[in-house]
Amino acid sequence: MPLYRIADFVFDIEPLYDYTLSLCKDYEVTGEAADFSVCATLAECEAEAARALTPTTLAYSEALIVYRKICDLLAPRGVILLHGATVKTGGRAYAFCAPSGTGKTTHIRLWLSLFPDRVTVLNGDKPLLRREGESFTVYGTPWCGKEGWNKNDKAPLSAICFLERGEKNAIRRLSKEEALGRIFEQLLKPSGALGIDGLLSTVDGLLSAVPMFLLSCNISEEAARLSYDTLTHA
Amino acid sequence: MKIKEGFMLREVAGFFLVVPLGAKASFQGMMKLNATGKLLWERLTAGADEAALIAALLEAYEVDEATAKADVADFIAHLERIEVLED
Repeated sequence: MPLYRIADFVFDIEPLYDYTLSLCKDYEVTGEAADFSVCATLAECEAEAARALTPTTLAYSEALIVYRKICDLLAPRGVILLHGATVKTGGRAYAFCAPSGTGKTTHIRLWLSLFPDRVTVLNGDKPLLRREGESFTVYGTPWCGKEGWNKNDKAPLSAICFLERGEKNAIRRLSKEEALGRIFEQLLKPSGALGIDGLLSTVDGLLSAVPMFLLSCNISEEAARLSYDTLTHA
Repeated sequence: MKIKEGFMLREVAGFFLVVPLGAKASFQGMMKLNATGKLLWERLTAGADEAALIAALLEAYEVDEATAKADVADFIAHLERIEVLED
């Protein structure tokens, strides 16, 4: 049975449908002991599919359930799902967060076109963020949004940048209170008190360790240069 | 009068947050309390009635009784409005 390494934990995933296995194939490892086993029942898949806003398949629903279960297992261990397009450059990770449709993907496309040799996408939508002591590491995961941008790679998180649309381009560092007001919208809430407690403790450390910015931007090279220059010097 | 089951109070980055433990996958319904709010929340959780809450404020802060009464009434009214209290 194949095992998968996600956020440096090893999972035994035994799905009902092949979709989850093909999704996770870049994360396969051999010769290791599993930390956790994860599976979904048919009833869970059916309930998830019935809740979906657009028609979906049981196989796709199963993949979502597996990821949520992974997140629930890891939340007490200092790992959280950050909803954000996350890029890596110079060995460091930078996450862009905004409500869907704001232009996270468009913005990191600009980074990719400006610096094609220097920038890779760790995860286009839903990476995991792991706390170890005072440091935070972003991990690529198979669950990554419709572009399929993900890499089985990791990097220390240097900054989080919230994005909003603006006519002109401007960026500023957020106070802890402002960051606190924005970060929770971008996190998956674990189920159960133990996971929520773990997440709150992780966020407490995150707000001290990682600077957060607000970028108001249009779609232009200038916007990408502004965020690149600011974030990589944070 | 007491706080319903299913909330967690934690300090995050120097702020006091009350998070509903319910099944929703988002943090909708989370509250940020100031130090006074935190004190009142903790006392309510421990079973304090309105008079005890007023006494707690008078003990912790240099306020007159009228102000303490008004603050407690506001806090309780707010919690009732967002349906956090039960009998």
